[in-house]
Amino acid sequence: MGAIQLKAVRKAFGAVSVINDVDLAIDDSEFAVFVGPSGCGKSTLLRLIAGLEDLTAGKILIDGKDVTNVSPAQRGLAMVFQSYALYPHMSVRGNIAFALKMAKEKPEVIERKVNKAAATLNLADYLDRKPRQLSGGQRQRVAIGRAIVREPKAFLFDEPLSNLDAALRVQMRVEIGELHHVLKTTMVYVTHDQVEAMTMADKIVVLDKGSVMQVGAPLELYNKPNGLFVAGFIGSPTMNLIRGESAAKRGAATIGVRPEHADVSTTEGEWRAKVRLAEHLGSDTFVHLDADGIGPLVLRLQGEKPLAVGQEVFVTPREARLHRFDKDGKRID
Amino acid sequence: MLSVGANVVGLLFAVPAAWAMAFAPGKRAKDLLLWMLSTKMMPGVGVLVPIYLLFRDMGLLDSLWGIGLVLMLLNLPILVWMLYTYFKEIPAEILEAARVDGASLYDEIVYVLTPMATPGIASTMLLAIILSWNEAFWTLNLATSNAAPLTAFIASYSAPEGFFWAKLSAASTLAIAPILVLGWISQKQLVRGLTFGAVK
Repeated sequence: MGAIQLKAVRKAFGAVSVINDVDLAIDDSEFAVFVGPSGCGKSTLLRLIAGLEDLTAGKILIDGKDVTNVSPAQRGLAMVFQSYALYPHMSVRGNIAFALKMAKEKPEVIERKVNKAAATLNLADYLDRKPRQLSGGQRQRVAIGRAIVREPKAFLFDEPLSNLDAALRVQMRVEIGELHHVLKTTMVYVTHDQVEAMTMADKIVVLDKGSVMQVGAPLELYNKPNGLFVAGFIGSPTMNLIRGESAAKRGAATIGVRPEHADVSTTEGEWRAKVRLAEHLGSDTFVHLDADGIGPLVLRLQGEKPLAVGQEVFVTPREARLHRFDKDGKRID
Repeated sequence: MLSVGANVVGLLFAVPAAWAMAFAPGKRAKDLLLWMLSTKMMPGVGVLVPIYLLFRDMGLLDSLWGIGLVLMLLNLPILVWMLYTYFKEIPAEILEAARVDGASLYDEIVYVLTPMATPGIASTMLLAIILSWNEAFWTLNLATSNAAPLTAFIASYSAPEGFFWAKLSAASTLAIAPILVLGWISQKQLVRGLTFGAVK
């Protein structure tokens, strides 16, 4: 059981409020991802849940029990840090066993649990090595192993893949997803990478300047962002936001067109544009355009498109996938 | 024995104090640190009389406990300051990880912080022992025979008749030798300890 509830949670450092009245519920076994730009408060919110920071106001409940004033060790949570935070003077075995040693478990129980966690994470051959003798991915696995052995109510991940190279990040993302599937334990994951959020989460919490902007399933946020901030944050490349006449004639102050929801033609279309840059990835082509009366646009076209710099094209948005926002930046349904 | 013993006791106070300054600083932590260091700027002779009177009234004159206390208190600011600068280099996340893993404050300091900070603690202790070994002003003024350390012994070779140069030289050489050997063996750690944290 690992249901987490945040009620009117506020955190301020002196006069500076970094978390503003956050109400949030994370269900048992859910994979919740906190996502947002740097400085939005997602790591602070995670640290509040972990008990590493004190609340200024509000409550945190785990399985219905108020843990606001409970120490980190007593909350039954386990945390994986961005920098792994392994104990450099202990071996892999020592790192994984530390929490069990603190819990005064019997040596034979510690041995069994450590070996089981090591086997799960393919660390059995590295148990006697020190962290400095491991690669980045191995260190990350040790950090995860240290969390697993505690059999916590929930795992907390603070940007655990940020220090890894791109290929390893993809591999570890899959491994963490599989781990969640096997353990069925609540996981709260912080990232600034919205691709990680979209691929891993059951529920995404989008934060900006200490406030929750929207909470929902990944595709819900993708298809129905409730405002300009979420619209611009979710999706890569970023949604094209267009003001002026094209928006007004559709009854909105701003319209949003995802790069993959527009068509390009060399003969006709709603907006005339000139190709500024074409990025060929093989599977996709990212086209950067300057559209007349619209401004810069970025489109994602499937497959290889032979578009030359300076070429004139015509862009037509798909009306069914268009998003409309009012003058306050809120979604118009 | 006095040098080592006094500084080991000093370390028992200095480690928690440096931990608090480094990882749980209050508003005035920096001011407190500077104040502690400022006590080393005042010449000892300025407080000789009150300290002498205090020791006399407490029965600590010419006692090992008294000399040990003075040596410990003399080096405490340096111990705290040096350990503080070393502890600041240790990532706070590692201690947070220990906290989440169930470590109490005692466990955090004993099982995580101290082993990680061993080189810094060793070089700090080395410097403190050298300073205590060479300490002459307080030992000469607060001890006569029972608690007189090596510095007092060397000073006893100067008499109204003049200096017993040969014996003085021999005693001085004997006094220098252990510290010279210790310093030579641990010169790398000494330099590291003195300069650690000076440049990122």
